[in-house]
Amino acid sequence: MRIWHSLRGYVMIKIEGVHLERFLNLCMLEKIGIWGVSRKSRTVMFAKIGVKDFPRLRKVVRRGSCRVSITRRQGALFWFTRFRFRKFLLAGAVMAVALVYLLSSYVWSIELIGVSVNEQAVYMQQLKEQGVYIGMFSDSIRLRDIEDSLIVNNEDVVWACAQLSGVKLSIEVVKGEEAPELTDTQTPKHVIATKDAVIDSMTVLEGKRTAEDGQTVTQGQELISGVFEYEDKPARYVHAQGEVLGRVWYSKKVSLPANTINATDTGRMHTVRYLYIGGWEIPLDSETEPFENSRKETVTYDLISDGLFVKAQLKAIHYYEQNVESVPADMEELKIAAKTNAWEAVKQQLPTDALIKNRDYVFCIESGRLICEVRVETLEKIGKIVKLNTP
Amino acid sequence: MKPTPEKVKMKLSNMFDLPADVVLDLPRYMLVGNSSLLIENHEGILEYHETLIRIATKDGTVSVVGQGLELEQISTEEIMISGHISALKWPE
Repeated sequence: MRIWHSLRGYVMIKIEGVHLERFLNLCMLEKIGIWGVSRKSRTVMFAKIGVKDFPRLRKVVRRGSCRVSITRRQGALFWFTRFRFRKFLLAGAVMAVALVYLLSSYVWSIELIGVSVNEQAVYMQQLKEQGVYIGMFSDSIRLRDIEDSLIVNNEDVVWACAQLSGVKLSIEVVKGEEAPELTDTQTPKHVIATKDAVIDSMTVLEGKRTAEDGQTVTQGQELISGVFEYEDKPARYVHAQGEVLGRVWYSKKVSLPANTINATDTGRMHTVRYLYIGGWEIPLDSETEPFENSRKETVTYDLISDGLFVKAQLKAIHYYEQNVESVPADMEELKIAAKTNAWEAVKQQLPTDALIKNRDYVFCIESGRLICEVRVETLEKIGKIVKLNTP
Repeated sequence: MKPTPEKVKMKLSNMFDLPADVVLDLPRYMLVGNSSLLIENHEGILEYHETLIRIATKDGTVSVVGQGLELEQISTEEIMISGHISALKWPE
């Protein structure tokens, strides 16, 4: 009902008089629709009345001995009436709506999903050749054609999906995985150790085993031979294959100072200022740093920002004096930091597929520094297939 | 003692299970929580203040007591009162 009143338009009225109840009863008798009646004082009351019913109040007012005045006009009717004398405002609003509609009919953004940053330019060029570019009319886009052309023109693309949402064209591309390279099993080869290790287990797929489980091997030592030798007939050469798991040990040492430097501000500060105009630097204070130990903070203020003819900046370097003292560090915290550093250092040596079997830390203090050595035992693949020199 | 037309109507209403508000033209009240009251079959507003509204009905004067009372809608058939209603009094 309120929406209906708002659409048709209504006025808020102030009724003043002694017999306000009489006014209300007369309105009911005359079938004048008023609503939202609220009494503010003994002689004043506010109410709402429809625009068409308002002239009929004249009779009621006369009989009810009261006075009515309009306090506010509400509703779409008054809103449109306001525009009757503001034709350019109305024209501007219509033009704005038309402009928004027109601009929303174009593609303003193209998003490529599943394409690396380096390849984006190549794909955008392909789309441009297909007639798809930023600023094109969205009604002329054929999404199916875009998908088909991407699959046909790129061998690695196995699936493509183009979607237009508003002014944004999203194209998702899925690339297929490359087929694994075929292993050349004809060339005679043998398997050697890639690093010093103790053999944990060995699975021979082809070739002759030349090392046993638990045996210590060195880097480059043959593990699976590709040569079968016979006494009564010539040697036979094969492509040796197999998986060799070995235990490998890594260690790394890191050191941290056993004392920490504790710096606290004394409260004294000195500022050195520079004025930059164009490419010129003009010192405004003495350039010397007054304190023996201090920390520095640089603050730059743009006096005339970029884009104008001259750029001017004020740079202020604040020196805060500090008391510096060396105090013994908390040993537990220091050990934790040393362990973290040592582990980060040794981790760089470990292969990504290595399985960590054991990890130990050893601490000692030398020359005022805490030394932490980490020892890691891993289980990893140590076999490498290399070409065999045949006669 | 001669029966009045009202008593006859009441007896007929009871006898034939007819709704009393239709047969006797009695007022109907619909209270929603304590914030809204709809009164049908009223006979006019006697008094209206923010804390008290007195309405004439065939039964007598009904008083609605509360805070911030407003006449949300008024017509010859019904009156809708909104606000914080604390009491509704009928004549003794």
